[in-house]
Amino acid sequence: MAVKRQLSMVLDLNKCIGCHTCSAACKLMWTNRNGREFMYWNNVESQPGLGYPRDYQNMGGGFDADGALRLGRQPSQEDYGIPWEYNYQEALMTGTDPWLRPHVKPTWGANWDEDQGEGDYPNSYYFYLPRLCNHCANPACLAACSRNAIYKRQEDGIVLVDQERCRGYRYCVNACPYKKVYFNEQISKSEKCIFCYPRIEKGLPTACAQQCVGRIRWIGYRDDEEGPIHQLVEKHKVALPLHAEWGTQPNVFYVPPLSPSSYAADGRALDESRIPLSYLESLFGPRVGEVLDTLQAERQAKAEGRESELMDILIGYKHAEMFKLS
Amino acid sequence: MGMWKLKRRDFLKGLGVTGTGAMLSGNVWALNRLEPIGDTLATEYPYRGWEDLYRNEWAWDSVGHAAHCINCMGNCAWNVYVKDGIVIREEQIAKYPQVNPKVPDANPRGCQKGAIHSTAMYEADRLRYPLKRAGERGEGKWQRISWDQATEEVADKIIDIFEKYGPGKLKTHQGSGNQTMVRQSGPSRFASLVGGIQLDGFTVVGDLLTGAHLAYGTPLESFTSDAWFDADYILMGMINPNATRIPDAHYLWEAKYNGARITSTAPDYNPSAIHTDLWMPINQGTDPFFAMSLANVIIEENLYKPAFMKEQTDLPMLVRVDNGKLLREADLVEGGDEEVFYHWDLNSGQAVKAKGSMGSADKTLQLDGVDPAIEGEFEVEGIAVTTVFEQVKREAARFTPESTFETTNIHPDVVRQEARHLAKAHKAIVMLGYITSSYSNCLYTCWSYALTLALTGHGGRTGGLDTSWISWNHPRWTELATFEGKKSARYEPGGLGEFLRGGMMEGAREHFDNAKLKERVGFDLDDLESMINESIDEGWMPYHGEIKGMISIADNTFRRNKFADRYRDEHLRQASELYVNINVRMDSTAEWADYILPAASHYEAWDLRTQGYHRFCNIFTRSVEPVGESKPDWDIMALLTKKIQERAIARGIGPIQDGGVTRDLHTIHDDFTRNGELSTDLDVARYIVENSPEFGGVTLEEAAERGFIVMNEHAGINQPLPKDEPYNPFVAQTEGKKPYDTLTGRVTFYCDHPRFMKLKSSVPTARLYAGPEASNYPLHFYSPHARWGIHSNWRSNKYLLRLQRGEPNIYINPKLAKQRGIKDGDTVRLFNSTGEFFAQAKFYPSIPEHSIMMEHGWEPHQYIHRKPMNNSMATFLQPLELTGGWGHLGFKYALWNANQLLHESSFDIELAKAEDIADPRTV
Repeated sequence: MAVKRQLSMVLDLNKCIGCHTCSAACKLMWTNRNGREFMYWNNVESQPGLGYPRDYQNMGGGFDADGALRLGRQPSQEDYGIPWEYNYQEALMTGTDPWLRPHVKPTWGANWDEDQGEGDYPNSYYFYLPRLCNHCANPACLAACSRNAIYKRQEDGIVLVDQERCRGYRYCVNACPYKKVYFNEQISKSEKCIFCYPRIEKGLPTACAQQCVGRIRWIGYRDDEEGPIHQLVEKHKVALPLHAEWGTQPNVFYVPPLSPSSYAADGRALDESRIPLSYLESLFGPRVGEVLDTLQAERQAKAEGRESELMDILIGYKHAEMFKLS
Repeated sequence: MGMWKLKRRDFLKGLGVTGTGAMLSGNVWALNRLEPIGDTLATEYPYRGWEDLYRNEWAWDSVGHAAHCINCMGNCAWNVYVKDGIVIREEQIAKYPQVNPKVPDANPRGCQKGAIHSTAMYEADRLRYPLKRAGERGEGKWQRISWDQATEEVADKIIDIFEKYGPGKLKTHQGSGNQTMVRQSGPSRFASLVGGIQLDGFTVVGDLLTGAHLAYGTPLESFTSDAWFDADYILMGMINPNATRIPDAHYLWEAKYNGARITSTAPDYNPSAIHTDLWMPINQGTDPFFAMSLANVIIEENLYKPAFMKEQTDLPMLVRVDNGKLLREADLVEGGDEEVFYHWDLNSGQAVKAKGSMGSADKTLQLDGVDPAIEGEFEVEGIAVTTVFEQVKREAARFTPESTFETTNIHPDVVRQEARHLAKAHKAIVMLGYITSSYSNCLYTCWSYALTLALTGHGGRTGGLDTSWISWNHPRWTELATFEGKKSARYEPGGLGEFLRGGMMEGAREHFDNAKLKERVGFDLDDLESMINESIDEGWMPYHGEIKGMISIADNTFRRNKFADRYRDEHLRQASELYVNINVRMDSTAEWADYILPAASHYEAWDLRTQGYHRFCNIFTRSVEPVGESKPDWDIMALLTKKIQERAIARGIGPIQDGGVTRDLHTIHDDFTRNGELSTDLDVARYIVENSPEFGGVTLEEAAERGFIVMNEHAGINQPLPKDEPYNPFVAQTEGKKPYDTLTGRVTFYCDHPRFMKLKSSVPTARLYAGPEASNYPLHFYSPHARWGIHSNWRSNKYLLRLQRGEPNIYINPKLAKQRGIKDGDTVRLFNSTGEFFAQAKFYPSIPEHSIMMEHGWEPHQYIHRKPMNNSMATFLQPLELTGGWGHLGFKYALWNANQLLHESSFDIELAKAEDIADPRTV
């Protein structure tokens, strides 16, 4: 690994309830001001879906199989969703507007396809995918920056855009296949998730993780063998990167989602998960099936009164212990 | 895709390091200000001084504590960060102690709504000054006035109403917006002093699980959410905790990892269903049929647990064969008790009096050597009797899984499988939420699920019905709110009061087809009308009639009531003398007031909050001063009573007789403040904290420092709150053998109240809800609680709206949409005979093609032309919930009375016409 140490996050999609407390926490922490209003450094999207920004998975970026950088396209303002303003004063306090409404007709937003998913009733399916900057080991944004204004901190591997050197060329925005770098038009610089480094430096987890009500996020250093990241990624091997084929080597990992059985036409419950395995593999790679089997086997161990280290980690008895920041 | 094929190094060389300007998109930039720099990936970056930029954004001057006290039962402790006198953000304290090392802790309780509250409190709809209307009611023209003028004018009008009409003409209903101890006490104490009308806060919003009261004698004895963790079977009946119980939901998925089987029945594959082992796609409102089919299997397959049934339930009670009534002591003994009942003792072969009933002197469930028969026919002094269980069996036999399949859409194999899981489980919980209680068949749903749990021996530590609320014991709060019990408000059944005063029967008659309704729910509107009259005439349910004035506190009554415009017009007509609204923001109810008194928000007043699903009392520390001239609710009522007292004395008003008490407007301020002892929010917070046994003698300063208090054993009402284990309901009954607060002292499955018998509901059974089949409109419709708001609170917050569709939306199956020519994002018109509304269509394949869903709570002023969903939301009442004079059935606040019903209507849908949704200013 290029950096001395690498901070990392694991998110358990089986515990994500889609409440967006993470997004709200991040929003008030960093992006409710100064031209960042349209940005969600952390967002939660329903998958299958177009996500945020709209259809980002087909915008390109990242690296090809030979390790060559691929540039994609920059999302439009519409793809992000225009942060609507409302006529509170006119509609409610002065009686001069007929009703309360957004200043533009909404056509897309950061959670536009909430709960939509795919499939037909009663076998429809969806799950929640929270996303932040992956603080990649091979960041496409960094590779694409012609100013060399993007760097990885050696002490924790956090990827940052130098706000003094950045000149707003936006190659990073194009190159990031996750579309987690945003261009701030107000200051003509690119900005992105900073893994709450001011908090990390004080020994606190990121706002999105600390405030996560579903308790789905673990933070730690990848080289800490006692830490949660090593346990979940390397030891139990249940946490997988999103779109590893994009070549950026993410440091954010996901425990893929189980799902309830689907139904036959006659109403009988089938012994098969309703989210197609092939779909999950398209996101999280070929090991998904193996991970889901592990999860079910370890659940069964618990149900039979046997010990399961993996289940105990995923349960997370103490919220504060989900974060190991030293 | 226009993707470049370049090695990274080549790319950098080509673009950055050499400084040439040939760019990808064809633009050309001069890069002549580049300083040379090494590899930013593998070496230390030399220019990190700028990093202070973001560090400096994470800064504040002071930190306070608060929760959010509107009708969300989440109740979570937050840090409130203040900079330059303004709240800049909030973050959960996340330091609740772990109750037991084997149970996950409760951190970090909270949700996205709490996380943005600081933006809502400063939004332009926040009320900052006392306002007096300057035009017609609802016209939106306001004059800013002083507190002195506002309270003096309101005080005089209140006195006028007493003078002109006598007591009882003032509705002072405090809504579910105020749930904290200090804030809630003020208006409650005021209502007690003036004898104001207060409707049941549960049933006005349709939140009372009446079948739980019928079965257990209280719907407010339930599980702390951490008690879900050691369950091995959890069935979510319609409830959607991932969206509506966000701070608690983690315990479900942790229980799943702990080995539990989690299942769900809901009409849509909702956000909670996605994490279950099995979601059962139930047809809307058919839940009692499903529960009864479970009971059928449990009985047919002999999966029931006689020991539990004999001790804890009324299933072995004797029932007369001739008239279907419970066998009472009065049947056998001249002057015998009507509330003493019998078992058939298999040991002695004779009928014996069952201990523990309301009429029994022995307050125990201990059987003491009696072995009650649960089955059989017997003869007692010439009277042929059988058991309640025999009656239950006969009813359950009608609900074979095969016979309910068509109704419920749950396959018989699935029913059998789940019945077996339920019976096998060590600890099984059926979780019902407030979506259940606002169906007309709520009572049947709760009651039949309670039956499945009792048959399989689930009670106390082994599970039971989760009713989404635990009521804790707070004697000091209760005294304050009720004026030490010396004088009372005029309490009224919520659903009934709103239905009658809002003229809703007229709306119901417009929508429902009487004959079809009777076929669906077992009675028609004529039957209902006569049963309502009977309930009032018999004194089972109080109704206080027309009002002359209204003081509405923290209640968005014109938003939530059905036939909304009719309801509003009727209230404004009756409250012709005065309508005051006390509120934090300009909601759809405040907009129509004569006077608005601005209240402090959560971060601006001292307060305390328990209730809900955990053992913590959260502290509100007045992190900032209230905005503008807004004031804490307690202080508002203190100020108002001061004016009333001054004006009453000046006008020579003395004691006003009101039944057995006097209404003493001339001393009302002294009474309200206990002669000045409790004048402010801080006074009251300190008094409650430092004098309540459940808080263990902590000082307000200590509590404020930490942000919460862990309650001690005195917090339990039914039983002590154990220090080191989650709270399971009814352990005092299952282990301590304490009788339930029911007529028979047992979990009740037999009700021989005449109305129950008339409606063929003396044992748990199933009824349908109204829906399209009771009307002339084809689409089912339901309006569950929202992920994005608590009723109307936060529904108009822009940060939350930006994470939705930005405007009110309905959920529609794409196939139905296609049939009707509707695309995702189109504006559609929903209509029936009582009205119409417009909303954005959102595709949702997880809902059946015959249903429309719309989360409730949108403000009427958010709809196009301000035509709200509730205008066309038809409703009626469940007459069984209006019964009284039978043991534990009779008007009891927050325990037993009729719910307002929220999901009984039906609609049709079409694409909205451009001219119908155009802005009137541009037409």
